[in-house]
Amino acid sequence: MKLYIVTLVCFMLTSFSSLAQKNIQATFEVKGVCGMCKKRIEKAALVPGVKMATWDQKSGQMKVYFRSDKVTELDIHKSIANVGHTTSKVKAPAEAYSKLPACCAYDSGVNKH
Amino acid sequence: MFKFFLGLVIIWIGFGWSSLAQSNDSVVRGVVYGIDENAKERLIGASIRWKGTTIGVVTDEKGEFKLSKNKTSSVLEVTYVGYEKQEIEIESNDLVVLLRSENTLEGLEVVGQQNGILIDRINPIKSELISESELLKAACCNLSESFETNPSVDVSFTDAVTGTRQIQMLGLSGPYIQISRENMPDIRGLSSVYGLIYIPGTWIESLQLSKGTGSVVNGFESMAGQINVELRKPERSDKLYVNLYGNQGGRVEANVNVALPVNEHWSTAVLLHNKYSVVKNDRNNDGFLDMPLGAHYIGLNRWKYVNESGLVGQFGIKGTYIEKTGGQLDFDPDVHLGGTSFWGVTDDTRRVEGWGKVGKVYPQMPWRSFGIQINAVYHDQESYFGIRNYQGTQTSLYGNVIYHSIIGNTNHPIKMGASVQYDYFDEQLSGIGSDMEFTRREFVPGVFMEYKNSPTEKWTIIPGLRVDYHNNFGLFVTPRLHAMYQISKLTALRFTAGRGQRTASIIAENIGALASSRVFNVVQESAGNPYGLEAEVSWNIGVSLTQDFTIGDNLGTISTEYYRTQFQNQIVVDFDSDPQQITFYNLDGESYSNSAQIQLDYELFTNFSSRLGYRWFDVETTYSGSHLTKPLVSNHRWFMNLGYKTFNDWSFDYTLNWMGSKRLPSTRSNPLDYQIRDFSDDFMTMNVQVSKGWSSTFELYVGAENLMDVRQESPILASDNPFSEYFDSSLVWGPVFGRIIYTGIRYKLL
Repeated sequence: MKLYIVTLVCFMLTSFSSLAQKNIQATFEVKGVCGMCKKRIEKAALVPGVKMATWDQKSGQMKVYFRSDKVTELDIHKSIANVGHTTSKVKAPAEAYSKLPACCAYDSGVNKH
Repeated sequence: MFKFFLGLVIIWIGFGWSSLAQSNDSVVRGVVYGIDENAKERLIGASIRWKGTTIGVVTDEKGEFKLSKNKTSSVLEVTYVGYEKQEIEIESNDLVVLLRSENTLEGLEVVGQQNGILIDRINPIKSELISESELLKAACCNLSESFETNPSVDVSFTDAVTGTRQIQMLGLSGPYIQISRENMPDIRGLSSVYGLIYIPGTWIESLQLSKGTGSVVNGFESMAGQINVELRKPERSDKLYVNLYGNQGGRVEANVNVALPVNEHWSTAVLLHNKYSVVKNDRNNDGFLDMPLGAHYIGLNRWKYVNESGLVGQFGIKGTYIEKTGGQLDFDPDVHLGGTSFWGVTDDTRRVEGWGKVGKVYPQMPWRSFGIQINAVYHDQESYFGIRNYQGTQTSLYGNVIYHSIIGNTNHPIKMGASVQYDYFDEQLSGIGSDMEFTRREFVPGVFMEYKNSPTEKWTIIPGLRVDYHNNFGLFVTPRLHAMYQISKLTALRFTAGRGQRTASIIAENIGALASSRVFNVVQESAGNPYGLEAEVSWNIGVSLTQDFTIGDNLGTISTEYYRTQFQNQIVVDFDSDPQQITFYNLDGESYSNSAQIQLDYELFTNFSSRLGYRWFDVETTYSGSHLTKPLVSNHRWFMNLGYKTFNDWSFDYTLNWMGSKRLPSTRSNPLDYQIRDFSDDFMTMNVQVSKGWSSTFELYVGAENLMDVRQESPILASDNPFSEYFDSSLVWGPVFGRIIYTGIRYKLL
């Protein structure tokens, strides 16, 4: 029973401590065209410190929530660019871009699909 | 029998192929749902537009739409404020569109529409959503009668005098199913059998049904499955909804629902139900009423509060009053109650429930939310069964706090929280050899945690764990696991495994046995525990495979599943050792249930849906050392449902059920005249219903239950001598009443 109460208290404390974190939200543009791009972009955006990343396929807008003490917005841009998607601040390296599947090649006139 | 079904299958396949030859219909129809973490609801006013055009419609009050096909575009854009936009390439004429809320983390998908039962494709827990359109296929009347068109739930009678229906899932009786109202405990304890009639059918917005142990968030009691009932919501119900019903057996019902917005924050709804059974029927001439007389008065008032900062509150109260009288035709409770001149049954039940739910979402942290649920029940029941008197009261309180968050990022959502369940029961049973009083106080605080992750694109797993402390049974740990492997877009394989624990309310769960001369006998082994018995503990595992397919324009789903429930301890209910007794004891030996089911849903042609199912049970228990099949469970069941809806609002529904033979409890030690067979007959029942709607406000329905008038002959043993030790009305395996023709109207003010 004692153990039980201790567990319960620990549990409550962890819950409330996490309420005190500082989260920042940022929105920026990322180039991409399709559902496959969306998965790749969102995955790349989730570097440690990023809580949530949602990319809107139609508008190209990326919405991220992150902890400013752990990661900077630029780190997120870089990580996305490194998988081949140019962001409003960082251009994708040519090598990474060339690795994208043909259907995701946003600079070669592929329409959103 | 087999040939008959083979014939049906061939006709059915024939229909399927003939429909291939049909030309494409020029209209796309569908329904739009919004989904978030907690709910799936029909979206009213969602916009549907052909991409790149201005041609479009909005969904109606049922979330449904109809739109002519377009030559320039075959892609539909579906939008709704607060939900993510969805684009759909049209490959069929019937669509179910799921829009995900912008505030949630779930994936989204388009699935095909075939029937009122939907299998939720994105949920690793296999969950059937039984929608309003499915519930309307059987016009009647309360939750116990809402499963007529579903092969997953078997419905039978508890006894031949009270007309009470009980349900079974995976071959296990109703109390092993966790039945909740909007995810809070509802039908349990003293109401575990009778409680199904406290939820009128017209109050139900939808049902979610899943097999196996469910989420740890909702408690530890679920063993065979869960049924969650979503009642009509103040914010999206019709302003006024009236349903009047009458049947040939002399049962009349009135249901009235009213929903009002009060101001920009508050809305309210009032749901009322009234039932009278006024005509004495004895079709099988055994001197007993086939169904009791009486009245039900049930009312509910609920409120919803929403504000801009993400605070949502829901509050409700419900009152139930039931009175019924049955038994021998000349039984008059004012004169004969408790005496031996005429055998009669009476039931007076009063029940009050109240609940509240408060939730908070954080607009700055959309992955985080916080919810509190509180539920309170007071239940008071007094019944006579011949000279036997049963009285019981139950007071229950429940609180649950749930916190949703993430570990690191949104790929790792987690739910955690703490709950407390308090129950106080006081039961008295007197007459026929047993004078007993049982009181019990149960107090169970607990904590839980559930995590969800997709380690690869195809796998999703949800492990969950609860730790609870029971004042009698001590600390116990409830692990549960759900997993889904998405083999392809159309094929999903699901696994479930978990533990369940509950305290059996032995009298209320076997209330049908009170309508007999059996002496209630409890083998008490552990003083201080409820009834002197241990807790029931079971482990369940299950696997299911769901395959969607299309033939031409028509969508279908085939699903197969297997579940096994193994009891570590069970309160064995022994009807077999002695036909003059019902004995309860802790399991000593093995007890398990194996269940397999295959179900095919297919739209034969536009608006003509069909469902074909077969299920198999193997339920065995050790009764005082001998291993026997559980009585009154049929090992085989076939099922078929056909529905057709025309564009001018005619609906036709047909349901066929074949139940295999059931083992009957042994009566071999009785005198020859009072013995029954070892096995029942198999039997087949058919239900039909026709309804016609006018301008979506008025609807008329006519139907027949048990069209072929199939009946169990002389369902009451020793009906000629009800005060003898051989009297038993609980050995019911088939329909008691036979054909019932009914009619009614529905009126809606939008």
